[in-house]
Amino acid sequence: MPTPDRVAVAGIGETDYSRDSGRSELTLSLQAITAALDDAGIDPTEVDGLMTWAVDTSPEAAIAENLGVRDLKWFGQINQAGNVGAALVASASAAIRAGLAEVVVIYRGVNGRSGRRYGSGAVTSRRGQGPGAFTEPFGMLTPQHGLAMTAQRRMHETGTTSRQFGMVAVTERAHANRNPRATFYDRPLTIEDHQTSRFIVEPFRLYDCCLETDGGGALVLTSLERARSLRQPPVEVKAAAQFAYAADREYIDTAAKYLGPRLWAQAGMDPSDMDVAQIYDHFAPFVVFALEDYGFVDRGEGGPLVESGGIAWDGGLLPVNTSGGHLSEAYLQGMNQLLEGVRQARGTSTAQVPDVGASFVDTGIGTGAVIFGPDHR
Amino acid sequence: MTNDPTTSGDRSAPNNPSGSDDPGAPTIPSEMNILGDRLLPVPHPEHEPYWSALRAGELRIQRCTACDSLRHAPQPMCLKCRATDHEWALMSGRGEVYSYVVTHQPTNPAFRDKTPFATVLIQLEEGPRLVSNLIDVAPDHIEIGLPVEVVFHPVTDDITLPLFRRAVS
Repeated sequence: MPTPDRVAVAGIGETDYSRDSGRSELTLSLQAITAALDDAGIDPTEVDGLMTWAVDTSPEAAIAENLGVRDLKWFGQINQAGNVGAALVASASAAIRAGLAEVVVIYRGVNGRSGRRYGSGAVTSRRGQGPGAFTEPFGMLTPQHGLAMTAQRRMHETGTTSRQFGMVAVTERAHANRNPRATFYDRPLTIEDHQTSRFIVEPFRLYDCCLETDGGGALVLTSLERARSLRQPPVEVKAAAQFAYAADREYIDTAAKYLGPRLWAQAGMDPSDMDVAQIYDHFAPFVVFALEDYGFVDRGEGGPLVESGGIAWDGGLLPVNTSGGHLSEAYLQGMNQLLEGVRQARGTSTAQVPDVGASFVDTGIGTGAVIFGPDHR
Repeated sequence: MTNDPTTSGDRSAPNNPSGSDDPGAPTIPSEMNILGDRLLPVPHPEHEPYWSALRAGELRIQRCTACDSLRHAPQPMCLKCRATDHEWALMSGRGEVYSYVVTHQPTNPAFRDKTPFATVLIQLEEGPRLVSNLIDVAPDHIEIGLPVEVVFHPVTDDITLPLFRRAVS
């Protein structure tokens, strides 16, 4: 039997987002997965591939057992931290194209507020061991510290301002105010709110930082051909790639500088072809840096773009994080951005951009990215 | 169990401060090795020359004996030429602030009573960059480019940390 050469997202699902789910992370994942399979119109027993973040606590065997999977042929986790969502899409797509599995579900369920909190170092600290011996004794304890260090130097070199970072948060909040699923659906945010909010790790203010969320999400991937016979219009994975390291990387460079050219070449597109973007906003400044390093704008021009309304869903040059993102919808570590990227390609976002042909999703400021698009036969 | 870092001075029994009495506080990572106001490093035997130099009042950084490249934090291979042979080269201890952050919200009991405090990234004049703290510059007076020099801060018999102060000369 020939292996498929094109892969699509056939279903998406998610739970409610809260600060205290009262459910286990396994329960959250299963809720999201069954919702995604129902969205696709695929019976849970037909799932034959399961993938998740290495930091997820629900093993594929537990998921498979609950779903009643007949034959789990493909599974895997990708290491690092929250930043591997798109890499999972790339890996799952490769597995489907190679004929290793037909229906791969990517899932994430996390009690990020009521359980282990990323901001505490509970998940990411090295307890003063290994490379942590050279950083943690001085107060570099969480990913936020390293990212703030990079941001401070980059502000120094490019002239980007805290106010410009604030406009990322304000724009995303306006998007969340249209999205009933969003944590901050009913709370507006002004630039003054941002500029007077307390510092967490300077230069990051409170509203530069992502939420902590309890919730789950899932994507169902299968061949484009099979997806065409299912319940939803397919959303094709036009390109998907990951990046981890380059020897010539300068201190202020994000991974986007390296992933971008590879992704655009794979897709046969360039940044100007993207109609809408979801970008991993663990911290608002990195949305600005990603816009620059992917090549949407030149270095130093991301701040002015954001300040002039360039990432707003209604009329911006490149609408960004149209569901509210990690700052105002939920922090599901790129999962909620993958879901929103699919919605934009389907035409079902609460901040829908007209006529989306290419829906860009970054899930780690260059550690992984996907281009979704509607199925144009 | 206590969360008071000042009472956890027995380093043979690493503090496990997971039982926060503040319901709003983030969960504290367990198994942190905390002494007084410091979260202690757990040195790896491969890096012992780095730590023994600090105890002797010297800042030494790994240098490839094949191509003379310096590297920090220590690595098994030279990042330029992949050679594994190396020596521990004496640094001048002088450098400048390359970047910095100021922690306002503590996430660990070792730092709970110290906020706001700054963590700095020092660019040594020989090239490598080192994470540290400044002992004599308030967080709101730190600037990128500030000239600094190393001072040695003994924390235990085994551990001396390299900290920095405003350069005198």
